[in-house]
Amino acid sequence: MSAPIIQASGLTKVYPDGHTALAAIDLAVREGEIFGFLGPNGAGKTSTIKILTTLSRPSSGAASVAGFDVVRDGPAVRRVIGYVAQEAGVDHFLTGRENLVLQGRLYHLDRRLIEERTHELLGLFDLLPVADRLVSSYSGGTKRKLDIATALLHRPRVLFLDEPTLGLDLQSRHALWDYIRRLNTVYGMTIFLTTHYLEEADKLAHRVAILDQGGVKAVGTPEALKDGVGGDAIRLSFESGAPGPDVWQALRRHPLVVDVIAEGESLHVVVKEGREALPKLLPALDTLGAGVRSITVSRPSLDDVFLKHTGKAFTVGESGGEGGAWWTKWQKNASASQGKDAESTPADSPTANGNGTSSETPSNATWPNQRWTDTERKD
Amino acid sequence: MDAVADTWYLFMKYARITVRMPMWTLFGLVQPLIWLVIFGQLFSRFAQMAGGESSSYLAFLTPGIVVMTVLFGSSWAGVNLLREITYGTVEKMMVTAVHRPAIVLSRVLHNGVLVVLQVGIVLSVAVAMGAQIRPGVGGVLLLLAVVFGMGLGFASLSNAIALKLRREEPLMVAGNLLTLPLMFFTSAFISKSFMPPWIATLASVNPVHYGVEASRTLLAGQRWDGDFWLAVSVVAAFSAVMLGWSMWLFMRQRT
Repeated sequence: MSAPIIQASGLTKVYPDGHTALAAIDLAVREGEIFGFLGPNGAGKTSTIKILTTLSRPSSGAASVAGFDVVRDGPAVRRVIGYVAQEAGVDHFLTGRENLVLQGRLYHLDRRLIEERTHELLGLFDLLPVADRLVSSYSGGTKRKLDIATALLHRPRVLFLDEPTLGLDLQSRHALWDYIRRLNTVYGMTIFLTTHYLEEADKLAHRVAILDQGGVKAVGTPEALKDGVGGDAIRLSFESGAPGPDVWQALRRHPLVVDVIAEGESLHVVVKEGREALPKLLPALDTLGAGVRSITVSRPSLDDVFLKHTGKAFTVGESGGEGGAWWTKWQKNASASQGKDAESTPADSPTANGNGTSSETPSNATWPNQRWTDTERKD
Repeated sequence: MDAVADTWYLFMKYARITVRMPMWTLFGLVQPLIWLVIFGQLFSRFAQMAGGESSSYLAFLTPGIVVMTVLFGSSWAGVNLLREITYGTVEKMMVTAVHRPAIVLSRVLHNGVLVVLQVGIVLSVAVAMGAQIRPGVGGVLLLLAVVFGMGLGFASLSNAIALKLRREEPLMVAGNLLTLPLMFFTSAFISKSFMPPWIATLASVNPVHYGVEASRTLLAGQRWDGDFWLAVSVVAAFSAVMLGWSMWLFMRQRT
């Protein structure tokens, strides 16, 4: 395997006011992948991206992009990267085309080449119809597309996107994902993106790093991270209302079952591999004579991954907090029964309450679809 | 060579925006022109009282209005820099291969050219009003060079204050607070010999005063004597220092 295109070791950023934004993070991003940097606001995402793009210096530690040190070889790094910040830095009083041409000039590209690539990028991002209009007349989504296009004029090897879909409506967001995927597949471009949208990291990134309070808590493919949570949840509801303790006990003893948690009249059965365990569990339920009314199998989400590795829900409050309480109990049980997860941070969520696992009915029955609150705040 | 080319490309960007929105350039002329007309009328009687002609005060006032145009025209420079920082335009340039000093240099050069154009309009109005100025071709060219230098210098100062304060509102307050005192502690409105001594003392350490003096010598077609070259040197030195300071602050800024 070739050397990582982005490498960081012990990267630390302490601001003059004493705030530690990054506490010795290590990173290795492979060439050609879409790498998602996922974390809540203030986790250190922007601090990381600013150091990697040479806009800011680390307090300690080292990082390199395409083999160039971000502190010592700033100019060399800048030639191989493109950067799209949270604020669309395109000039409002120029047209889209003029913005692109100017950008090409600032990279000292040949005039002909600039013309060629300007046309190509305007086409790639479907900007040709608005190319000669002033950017001040563009919509937010169009502006973002132009911003990304300008970052590509010099064919960077690595593209940094800081919260690329922040503030965009759903449609523009999905469209932008398509463009980003296209850049990755067509040009083989490595893409490093930060986001605080779970879905964005899940759907777009090949690999995800979970960042919280200035530290990388976990890295892996979204699937692997979700597998690492411990298992899937099978939710069973019964014809006769709440099942008897015999059903509960029997399920718990079943070799495929990690844990069983009662939630109102239904049961959450945590298993390692939901789709495989289900056919084997059904006969067992049959012999018990438990009349099953409905079954849902759900995979854990990145939200659960975040919860597992940070020990807290993204937002402490209403739905997030309650979901956190439920999940934390389950996580504790799962860890106890599996005797692993040694590296996970303490899972004592402040919102956990000591009610036991049987009779409590969390008001949100949407697990595992709890989501982070989309606070449209900058990092 | 890249440094020169980068400065040129960015300069052309600002020039293009100025041409696209000429209202802003003209808007900056409103205040100096009001001063030219009203002060020219208001104080013309003083000249008559002193035994001079009423049109001679207008000629006396014109260099002051020229310098005032430069000050008003430059005090916004920093605000524009802050806007570009806020919009992320500066950051976007910083990660390109651009020669970073060009980012500041292009802005202040553009401001220098802008105030030269504004001064051209102010002078035309003054002549149309009957101001008796006879600078000659060499005088006009040198005047425009002095104006350019001052425009560059004060735009640099405005940029430097912007980089220090980092916020628009206090920058505008600072601009307003500085501009008028800087104008009053000069010979723009009355000659230095009529000033109370403490104001005369302040004027002698005020670079704006030297700008007014140099402009007056040129517009009146007077001899370019030692005092004149001293005034020009003070303006040049002031602008060079301000330019250096603003570029140093810009290069030093870290996020």
